[in-house]
Amino acid sequence: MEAKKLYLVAGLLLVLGYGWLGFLTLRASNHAHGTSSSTTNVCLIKQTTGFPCPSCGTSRSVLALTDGNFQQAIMTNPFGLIVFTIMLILPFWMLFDLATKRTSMHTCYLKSEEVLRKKMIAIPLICMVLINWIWNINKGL
Amino acid sequence: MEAQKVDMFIMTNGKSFESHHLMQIRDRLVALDDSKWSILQIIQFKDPTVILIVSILAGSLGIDRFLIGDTGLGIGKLLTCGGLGIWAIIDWFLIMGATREKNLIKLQQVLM
Repeated sequence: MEAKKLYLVAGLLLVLGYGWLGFLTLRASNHAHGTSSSTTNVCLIKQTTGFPCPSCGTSRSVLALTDGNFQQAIMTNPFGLIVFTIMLILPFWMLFDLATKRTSMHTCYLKSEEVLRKKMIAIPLICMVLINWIWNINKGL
Repeated sequence: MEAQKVDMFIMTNGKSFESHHLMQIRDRLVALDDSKWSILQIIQFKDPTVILIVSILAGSLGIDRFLIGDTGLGIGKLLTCGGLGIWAIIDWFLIMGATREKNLIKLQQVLM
């Protein structure tokens, strides 16, 4: 993938992610004041099948992490840890690349893609995602 | 390479590429050495229609992106639940073009 496209996609995802977290926090505070009581569910899989997907609960997990509630975050969905770290690091990395006119994020992206394609690494990761999925269904997220 | 062989290749694999690239591919193949024919026949291209079906059924898990070789984007889609469902829907319209682009890159790597 070209560097420009990667930065565009990453930027859009970050805006979407932070916007979503902001919306959830706002709704939670409204909920506390008793002005709103609706629940929001954007997951296509959960809406069509009723079962949670492997990444259901990530928002709750990230929000728990922002409250400093580490154990609750892990128990909700361990994916939240990864997403939290990425969301924390990427904006600074992108700004650094923009300021120094380098493409270090793109180079790192291509290298990690190459590593992740190796069967020895890909298969255990896929198994972990599947186990997490089964755990999610058991938890009834 | 013989025009007949090239046309045969285009007929069997035409739908795997963007239509506006086909003439360019044809010209490149005609100018190509005959010894590359066996390699050309071995290359497996991804079928855009199959990827579209995967994208509709399992798009929010990122499996469509994994299949065409965009591992990084696939992980992004998986972790964000298909970009909160928005990216998954946008990809229903983009994934066929992306597949054809990947096929072209694959062909170019062989022709190099």
